[in-house]
Formats: sequence, C-alpha cells, structure tokens
Amino acid sequence: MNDLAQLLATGVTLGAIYAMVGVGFVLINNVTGIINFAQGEYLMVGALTATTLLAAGIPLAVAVAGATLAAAALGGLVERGTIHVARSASIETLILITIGTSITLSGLALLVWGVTPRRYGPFTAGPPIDVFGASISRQSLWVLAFAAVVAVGLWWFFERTVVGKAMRACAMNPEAARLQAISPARMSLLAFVLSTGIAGAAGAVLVPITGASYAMGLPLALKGFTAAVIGGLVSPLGAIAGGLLLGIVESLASGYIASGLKDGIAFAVLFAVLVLRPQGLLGRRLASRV
Amino acid sequence: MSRLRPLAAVIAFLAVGPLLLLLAGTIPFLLASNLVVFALFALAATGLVLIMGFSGQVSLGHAAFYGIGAYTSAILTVEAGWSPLLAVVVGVVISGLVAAALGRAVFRLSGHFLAMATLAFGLFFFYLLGFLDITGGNGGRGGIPKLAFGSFEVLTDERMFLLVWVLLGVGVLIARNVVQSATGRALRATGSSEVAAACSGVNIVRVKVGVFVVGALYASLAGSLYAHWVTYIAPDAFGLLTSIQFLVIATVGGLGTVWGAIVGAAFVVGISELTREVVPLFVEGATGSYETVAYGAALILVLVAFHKGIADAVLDAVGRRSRSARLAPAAAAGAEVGTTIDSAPPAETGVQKQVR
Repeated sequence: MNDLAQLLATGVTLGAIYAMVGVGFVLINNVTGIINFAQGEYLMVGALTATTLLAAGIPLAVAVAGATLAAAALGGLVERGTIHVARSASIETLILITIGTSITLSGLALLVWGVTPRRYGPFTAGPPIDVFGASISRQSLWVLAFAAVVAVGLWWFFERTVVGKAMRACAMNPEAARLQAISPARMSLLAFVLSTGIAGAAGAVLVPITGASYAMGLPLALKGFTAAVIGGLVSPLGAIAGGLLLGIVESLASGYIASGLKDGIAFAVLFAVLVLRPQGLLGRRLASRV
Repeated sequence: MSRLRPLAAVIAFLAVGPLLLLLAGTIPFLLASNLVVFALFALAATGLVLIMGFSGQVSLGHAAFYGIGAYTSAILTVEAGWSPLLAVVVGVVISGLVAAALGRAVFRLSGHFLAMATLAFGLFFFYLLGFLDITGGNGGRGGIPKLAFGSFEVLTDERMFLLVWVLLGVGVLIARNVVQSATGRALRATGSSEVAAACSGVNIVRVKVGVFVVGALYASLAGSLYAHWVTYIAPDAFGLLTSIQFLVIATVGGLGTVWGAIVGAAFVVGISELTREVVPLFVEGATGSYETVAYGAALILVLVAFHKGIADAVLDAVGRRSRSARLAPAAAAGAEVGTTIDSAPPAETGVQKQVR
C-alpha cells in the first residue's frame, strides 16, 4: 500500500512536469495550428539560465524571474525570426521549422553551457514530507504548486480577460477574429511568448528534481506533447489532466512491471491515442474525414 | 526524346560514382567511407522524398524502416545463418508489411497528426530495440557478415560505394517512374489537393499507403546495406536523430524532385564531417554533437527561404521547369498560396487543408 502511495506521488510530480510542457503545446497549437517541437528547449533554456544566475549570487526569486523572461524573449524572437517570416508556408513546413529550432537551440546551449549537467538545491530546504505513507520531496510540492498556479492563471486569462478571449477567438476562427480587429499575427507572437515564458519558469522549478542540461529539452517535449495529445491538443486543462494521467501511468508501469518500460509505455500511449482517438481521450470528436 | 533524357541522366549519374572514388583521398573529407554513408543516406532519403514531396505527408519515423532493414539482416544472418542477400530481401518485405499496416492505421488521420503518429512509431521502435533480447538491447548486434555475390565479396569501402551508388541510380530512376506513372499523377494530385483528387476518383488512402510503403522499402534496403557494411549495429543509429537527419536530407535537398535526396545527403554528410573534423580545432573539447546546430540552422534557413529545398530552388532559378526535371509544380504553387497564421484552422480538417 505504501508502495502504491509512493508510486502515485512520484507519478503526480512527473505528471505535473509533463503538464507544464503540454500546456505550452496547446497554447501555440490553438492559436497557430503549429506543433512547436522546440517547446522543451525553452524549459532547458529557463533551467540553465536559472543555474547561471544563481551561481552568480542572484537571489532565487530574481533568478526564476530572469529564467522566465529569457525563455519568453527567446520564444518571441524565434517566432518573429522564423514562424512569422515563413507564415505563408504550409503547416507541415512550419512544424519542420520548429524541429530545426529545437536541435539548433539544444546545440547552442551545448556551446554556451557545455555537456556537464548542472543543479541547485530545492527552493525550501528540509526533509521530505510524509503524505499517506508516501514521502514527497519539498521541491515536488513547488512543482505541484507551480502547476496549479499556471492552471488557474490560464483559466483566468482565457475566461476573464479581453486579450485571452481574443486569443480564443483567433483559435476558433481567424477570419472572423480579424473582422473584430484582432490581429492573428500578434496573437501568434503572444502565444509563443506566453507559452515559452511558462516553459522557462517551469524549467527553473524543475532543476532541483531533474537537473539542467542541454539535452533535457527533447525528451520533455515528447512527453509534454503526449500529455497534450491525450488532452485533445486544444484545451490547456485537458493537457494538464493528460500530463497527470501520463505521469501516473509511467510511474505505475515502471514500479510494477519493469523500470525499462517507462519511456516505451509513454510512446505506445501516444501512438495508440493518435491512431484510435486523435481527438484525445478527453476531447470531443472532430469532423476530419473527407 | 523525352523518354531518353532520364535514362541519359541516370547513365551520367552512374559515371559520377567512379569519378568520386578517383577523387577520394585527394580532397579533404572525401573518403570512400564517407561516400558510402552519403550514398546510403541518399538512398534512404529518396524514399522520404517520395512520401513527403509527392504525397504531401510528413514522416518523422523514417529511421524505423532503416532499422527494420538493418536488424532483419543482422538477426537472420547471425542467428539463422541466412545468406545476406536473402536477408536483405526479407527485410524489405517485412518493412513493406509494417509500413502497409502503419499506413492503413494512420492515413485515416489528416494533416500533422500523421507526422505525430509516425514520430510516436519511430520512438516506440527505438525503445523496443533497446529493450528486446533479440535485438541485443542497447549493446546492439555484431558479427554481421559482409555482402557477397557468389565468390565476389563486398569487403572494401570502394566496392561497397559502387554497389550502393548503382542501387541509388536504379532507385532514383524507379522513383521518377513512380512519380510519372498514372499512380504518380494521382499521388501528386493528392499532394496538392486531397479533396480535388478524391473528387476525381483517386482513392487517396490507397495512394498514400502505397507511397508510404515504397518509401519504407528504400529505407529498409539502405538499412540492410548499412548493417552488412558496418557489421555491427546498435539502437543509436536508428533513433530520432537519424529520422531528423533523413528529414533534413529530404527537405534541404528538395522535395519537388527525385534528385533532391542526393543533394541533401551530400550536404548533411559534408556538414557532419566538417563539424567533426574542423570545429574541434577551434573549440576545445568540442565533439561531433555540434553538427546538430548546423543541421538545425540549415533546416530553418532553407525552409524559411525556399519552402521546398535547395535542388528545387536551383531548378526554379535555372528555369528548367521541364516535366521530366520538375515534377510537382502544383504542389509548389499550392504551398505559396494562402497564409498559415491568418487562415489556420484550430484543428485542421481535410477540407480546410485544401484551402492552403
């Protein structure tokens, strides 16, 4: 029983991480139709920026803010420099461009930060906390709290602010949105900045758990993408639910079956969902046949 | 006349092979072993050019078929003692069957869900390679015999290169004929507008599955040849990075022409050798992994600037838009029309895809 509680706790932490990445995929896909494969790289940039800032003696809160801003600025630059310039190309071409961005950013990070993984201690020091027989590290609680803040923040943004509603309008019908004086190009930039900013902050929160290295982006992106697909790829809350589900399934599979199965299970789930229920486990049926 | 031209092009192409071998060793980085890698990559990516360039689909799991070929060859020759040639053929058959099954499952999906499904398939295959006993796990498999035709063994890099070069020439010719055939016209019609093609009586699922299978055969053949050349294979050679390499080769080279993969493969192998040999001289402790920056940057630049690759842009610039050289004008024109950000639907459906 304690085993189960422990595995669930690990799964939820893992799931919250995937959820943070998955939300970024959804934000960008909703507004632009693009799957941003570079999503994980912004977490990596956020994580490594935070390690550098902390190493320079900058206080933790400022370092996390700096990581967020760095990732958001980079995301905005990349959107203007690649996606916006090539906006007349097909969606497939734009997706390939994000793959190019992904490997370029991880290669550049290798040049800047080198191969050695970096790490810093948890935000609050102290022994793990015991919940129903599972010991949960304090940093896991930070991750969960951060995920909850993002979830509530996004709900408020999309439901309660004019800009958020404009973004939703863009996602529903870009032509109609234009008629209401909403610029889809500006919304695309905003989606990238918002999504990469969240990724940057998430990266900084992750470091005490996963460490930070130039290569951490792609695996996280693949898991986050799986989370987003499970959630139907259109709803931020769906992506969060999908992330938690994926994290728990992975944790249980590696605990009860074989630890080597963890990644294989994630990709089998991704494949099965895409083939059997492309609208996501939680999504509604889309009309996609011609 | 127009029938002779492609044949003449292929004969000229075959003549380039020995010429490259003569130059090997005199020009830095132009080694026979690099030439083999170049030809193998070009062969595998020619299949991807067919899939991506002409039916308008994106495959992010092409390395899986490269891997199926390689591992089938390795397992059948080492475990069962089969002759390499037979193993190559069986590998191609298995790849074709897997591609047909995968194609039937995923081509019901439209737009980029297909890219995602092939990505998931490729990743899952990669993890299987590392997990299963029969593939040797992460340690891989060794002791794979070299190819032999009777008593003539393909032992040296030079012989191997000439063999792959000839197969590449034949492969390009077949690809060209596929594209020019009635099926090929249906294929190109599907690539430029699925709805219009379907309305004209084209069974688009069958056409897409068909080209996906043909593309997989190229990758499988190249993978088997690779296994019999290096004699030792491990999962790393068949992972996501290899799929991305094939993608870069096909895209950078050009998706509108069957010759694109050859241009792209020369580019990728050139970059990888350059970064492996030259960059460490300037940056201390640098290793081959820096090459990914160059791949990534090249992929972005080419896609942003040309949308359809270098070979295609060159053909455009030279103005040789003859039917034999330039094969997918409709698809290229389709890519230029409309905008993505401005007209992207939230979830792309087949009908909306046609608008682009």
